[in-house]
Amino acid sequence: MEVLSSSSETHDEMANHSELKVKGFPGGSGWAVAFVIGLSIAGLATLPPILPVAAREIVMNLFSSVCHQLPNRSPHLAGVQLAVCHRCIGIYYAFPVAAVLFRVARGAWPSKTHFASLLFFISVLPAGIDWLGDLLGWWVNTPESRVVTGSILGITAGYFFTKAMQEIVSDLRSNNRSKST
Amino acid sequence: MPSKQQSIILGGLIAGLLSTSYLGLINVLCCAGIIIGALVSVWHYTDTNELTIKAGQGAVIGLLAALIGWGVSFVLNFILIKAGIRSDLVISQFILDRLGDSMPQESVDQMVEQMNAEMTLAKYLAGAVWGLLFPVFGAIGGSIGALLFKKGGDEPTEFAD
Repeated sequence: MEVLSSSSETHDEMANHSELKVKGFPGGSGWAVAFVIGLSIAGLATLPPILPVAAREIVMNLFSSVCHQLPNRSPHLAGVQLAVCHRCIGIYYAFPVAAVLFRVARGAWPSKTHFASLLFFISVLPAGIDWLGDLLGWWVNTPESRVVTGSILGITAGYFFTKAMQEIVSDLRSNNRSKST
Repeated sequence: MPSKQQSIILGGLIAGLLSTSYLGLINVLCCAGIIIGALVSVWHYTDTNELTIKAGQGAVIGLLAALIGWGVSFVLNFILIKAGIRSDLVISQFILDRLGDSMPQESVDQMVEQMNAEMTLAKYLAGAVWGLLFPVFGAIGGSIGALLFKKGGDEPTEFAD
């Protein structure tokens, strides 16, 4: 049964490696763009411990709209809280990892769209169950459980995001090519 | 290509409502409210018109839905705050309740002072600027949505220019 198939675009990119570095495309291919975007967001959220107080406040405020930033649910470096919680940091760092995985797997992708959708929604479940169980008092989740369940969601979302970036870069390349001819 | 306006407005309204008052707490789960709004926009567009869109088109739809959501929640939240519904203080209150005993007294006093301060339009505007990441997460959600909701077959639907 064929569940995963390497995308033709990726094979095309591999075969035409010399063509990847088209002018105007940072990194030359979608997975690299996704890697840089993912690492930038994760890196920005990790910066507070090494920033001066004023800059730290800006970064903390920036992420305050997308994370609760509860001190006892957030990682600390050198005694300083990072800009997002354990689960978010798991999700964010999983994005660049997923981009690398996408490259290593040569863009392997489920051959059926509904299987891809199912995979995505399944990946939300561990984080949802971990969060809900804690909220309802069934168990107390731990930093480790939050990072791991966040990472599962982040790897899947990051893989999808990388696939999307690959398509976007590929479209830009073909548009660029058709303009130049 | 069919108009995207209706789908973007629908997703924007959902993102806006999910970012308003106590519902806005959903955004502390990695901007879930905005991502849901972006996904709904793309789903509605592809489902209504039975087509498959490119990831880039999904990203644009998600980004625009997030911007509308940001605007909607901005207006609604200000109205609610002026009406005395201070959902913006929930997290501060939670921190005080759970961690107040272990926090330095000056930090507690500072938080209480901030919570009791009146919310002016200038202060509210300054705070709303920190929704800058909303469009980024909207675009990510929209591009993922384009891969999830392929209602017109595996390949993007082609339209004559």
